[in-house]
Amino acid sequence: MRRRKGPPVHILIVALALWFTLIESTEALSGGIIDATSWERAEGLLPDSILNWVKNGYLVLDVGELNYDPAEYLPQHVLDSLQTNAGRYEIDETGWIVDAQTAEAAQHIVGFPFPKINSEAQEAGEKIIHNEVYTWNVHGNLRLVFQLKWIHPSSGLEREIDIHGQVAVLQGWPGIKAFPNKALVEKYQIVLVAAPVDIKGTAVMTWRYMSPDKQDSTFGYIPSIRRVRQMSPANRSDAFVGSDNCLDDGNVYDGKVQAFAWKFLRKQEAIVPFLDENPQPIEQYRTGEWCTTNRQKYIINGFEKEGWQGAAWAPTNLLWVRRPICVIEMRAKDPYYNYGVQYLWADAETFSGYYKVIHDRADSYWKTMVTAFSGYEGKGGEMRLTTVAHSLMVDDRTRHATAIEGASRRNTLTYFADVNQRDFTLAGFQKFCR
Amino acid sequence: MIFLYRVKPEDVRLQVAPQNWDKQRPSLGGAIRVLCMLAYLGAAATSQAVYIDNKQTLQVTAKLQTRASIRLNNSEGFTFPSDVGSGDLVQWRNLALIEIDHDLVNLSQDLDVLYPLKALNIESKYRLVGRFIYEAVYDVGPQSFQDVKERDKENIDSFSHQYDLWEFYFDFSRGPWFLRVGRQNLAWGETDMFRLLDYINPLDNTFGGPFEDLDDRRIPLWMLRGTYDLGGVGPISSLMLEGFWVPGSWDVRVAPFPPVGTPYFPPLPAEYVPFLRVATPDKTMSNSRWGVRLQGLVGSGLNLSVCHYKTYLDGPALRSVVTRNVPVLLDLDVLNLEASFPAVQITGGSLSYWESHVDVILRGEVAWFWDEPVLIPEENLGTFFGPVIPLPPPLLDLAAEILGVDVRDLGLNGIPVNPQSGTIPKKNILRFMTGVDKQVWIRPLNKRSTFLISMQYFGQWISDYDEGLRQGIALYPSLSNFAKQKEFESILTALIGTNYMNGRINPQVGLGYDVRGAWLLLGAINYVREPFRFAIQYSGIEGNMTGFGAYRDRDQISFMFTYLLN
Repeated sequence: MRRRKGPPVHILIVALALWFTLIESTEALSGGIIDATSWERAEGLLPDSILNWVKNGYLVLDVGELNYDPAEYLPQHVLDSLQTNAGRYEIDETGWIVDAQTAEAAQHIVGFPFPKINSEAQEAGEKIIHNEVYTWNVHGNLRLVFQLKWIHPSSGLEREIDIHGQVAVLQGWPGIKAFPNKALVEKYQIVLVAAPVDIKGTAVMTWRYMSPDKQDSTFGYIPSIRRVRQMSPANRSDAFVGSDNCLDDGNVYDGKVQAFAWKFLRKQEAIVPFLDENPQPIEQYRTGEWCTTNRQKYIINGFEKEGWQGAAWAPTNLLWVRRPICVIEMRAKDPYYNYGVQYLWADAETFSGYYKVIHDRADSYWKTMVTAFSGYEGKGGEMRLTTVAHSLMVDDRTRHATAIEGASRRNTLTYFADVNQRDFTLAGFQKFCR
Repeated sequence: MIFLYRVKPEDVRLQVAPQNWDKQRPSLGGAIRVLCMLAYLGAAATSQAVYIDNKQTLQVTAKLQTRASIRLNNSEGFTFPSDVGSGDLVQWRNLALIEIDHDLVNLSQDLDVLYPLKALNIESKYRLVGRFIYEAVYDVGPQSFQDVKERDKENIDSFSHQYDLWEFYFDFSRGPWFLRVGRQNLAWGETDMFRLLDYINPLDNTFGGPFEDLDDRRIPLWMLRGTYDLGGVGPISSLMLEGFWVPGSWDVRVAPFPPVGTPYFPPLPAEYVPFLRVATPDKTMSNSRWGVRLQGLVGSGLNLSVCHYKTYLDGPALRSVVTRNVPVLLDLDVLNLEASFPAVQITGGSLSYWESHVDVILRGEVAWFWDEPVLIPEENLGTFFGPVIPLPPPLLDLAAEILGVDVRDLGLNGIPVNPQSGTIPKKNILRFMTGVDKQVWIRPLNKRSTFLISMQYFGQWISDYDEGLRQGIALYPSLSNFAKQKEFESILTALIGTNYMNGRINPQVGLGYDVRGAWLLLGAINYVREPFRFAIQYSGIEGNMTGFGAYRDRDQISFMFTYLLN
């Protein structure tokens, strides 16, 4: 019997299939538009809900590549922490982040606490979320101005709330050693509604503790009663002033890590949104603060773009790029929590949370949150950071959405801000109240 | 009621002098121009915040609101004009508020005149609120209200057209110090709906009575207020000392008394009205309001405060005053019913605590009112309880014809001899409140937002109780029988609210129950469509003539339309 020369046919077929797959994948991720006619190209690279938006023509993806590596666009102390914190901290059985050597509660964590994570380990999901929380902490104290926008799927902008805030961060950055922290606070936060006028002046001060079993202390100033009132910190899944977001949805997840059970599901590649292919400028003020500028790119939403055929809430000028991500399952320990299972997609290198897919209490799909990031760079590369540029929550039952306009031409976000810690006492809070 | 409105209106005007509404009256044309300008600005700005500068330190906001209320009851007796009844318009209040908030942080870097702020590292900002009001019910409402205006034009005009620099204060802060100087509101304590430690600013009950939001009724005062952050002391953290001072020579305003015949005039017998004279405190330094408060956190959950302050209560003290020594009270011109506002000192404390196991906020407040004026008719109205020359009925009939008052309605069977002025008795009164707030999911009714439920119990105990104590509520048709003031009084309140349609619809129901048998029901639905707000509010009172039950024949439904320039 004559032996056939060359590879067998079935190997050729497999190789051909692999080649086509590679070509298709490369084509999808190296550039071009993915829309309702080509949604298959993004299959497996997006949460199903977002893929459906593309399939239904609500959203169009402009896929491309970044001219920088987000994993390198981190403050120097974070880059350092990738080495210095490797294996330095662990999570004990009560949920504290502890020093791996002494088993004592860690108090001055700088950078990511868990830069190297064994995905096989039981606490892998929890460690990734700690890092995700620290993606904000590492930027020091913050001063924020942002808008919460209610967006109707067809008629567009319904309502806008203007919010100002400041955060004193006591973990994650080198400046924490200058702050006394007897109460073991992770961060103090004040948010103040600046508009519209009927709720203007509403202010909420929150103290987030490091202790896993110590709930937040929350104080609210309501202009209609002219008093600072203690508030329950427990209802973090309640709709925030009627929007599609709840308090825990801030920065994809803004609650206590210990309030949830976390489960690492898988690592994969995904298409995730970035503001632009290039990092945006930030400037340093005399006080040493780093501020976004009005020269940065701004988001154009569907309702703002003439001739747009997709959903009014869809961001139309984001760049979608390939990143390695981890998918984490999260389930609240609070039996009254308004969400069932949620799936969080976070960057495997920068720990930025891009997506959160939310199910209701019966574990039926409900909402999806999308967060777009951007690198920022100071003149001469003196400061580099990667942080949230835009956030969107879409309720797929009502098609209604709430977007958060963060850094933009009208909003300045200040990192490593010169924040007075006295502002976060009951006395200091007075000056935010009428 | 043959003597109803027997007095000439000009007499009433002289006696019930305008107090706090005697502001500069704007021209209607000017007001319209301002409104048009605001509407234009608002249309241009849609629903976004309006900042004047690039750095967003100077913000301008405005609110235009019109509110119409229709009465749902007929008068039961002491509500006048008595022919204003169910279905009649009792309020058409048009309000414009313009607010300016300016943080001087950047300006102090650039302006030489503000150099001291920069040099001393003082953070500063100011807030200015202008308020314009036009109450149209006297121009387009029922004929009875138009008649009230005709009889008392000057007074009603100044009452129905108001133009105020409503709030205007500067904030200065440096280190542990915070100082607020100017016309402002200050509220202490933890109560909603009723006030215990929150008597610092007077309330304006003239335009909506108990049916209005508490905060809408607060009248700002020119005040110096400061806080000092004491930090942590032992188990107490975030300890702060706060004080305020309202210089009496500058601002000693008290709760205004509405002009006679206006829709929210207190339910007083018409026979009393001609004699009524409102005596407000003199502008002297000794009439200053002042107070101090110490507040801190015990652990991380118990918020405690103790305070002491001097203020003026909203309800006036009543007494009869004989203006001239006469042997026999034949000439009623010598008689006044004086409504005055003696100062009261209040000592108390409050607490709030988040109970984590059942996730509720517990609130409590206690206040001891020192020497609060009370009503014991035999003392306050002593003129009518002294010796009399008895007269037979025919002579009393004749006296009624001559004097215009049937003295038998006042409990007399003759003419007072050597009449003396009444005195104002005072009692120490303990008031307290316990309350609980809880956010609950009621998912069959709302899957997306919680319901906020708030409940309160208010108690009152009068020390050295006198069986003769009465409330200032005359029981129709008697002129001399007043609702009894019991040694212990109790009121329960409940409030529930939520939101639907992404916060666009906000229903809320409030309930008050006086255990002596009076119910207060407030129900409202607000609808948000930027930049507008629409609201319907029902306000009703049922039950006995006690406490808020005195307003039981003034149920109303209100329609509000608001335009916001954000």
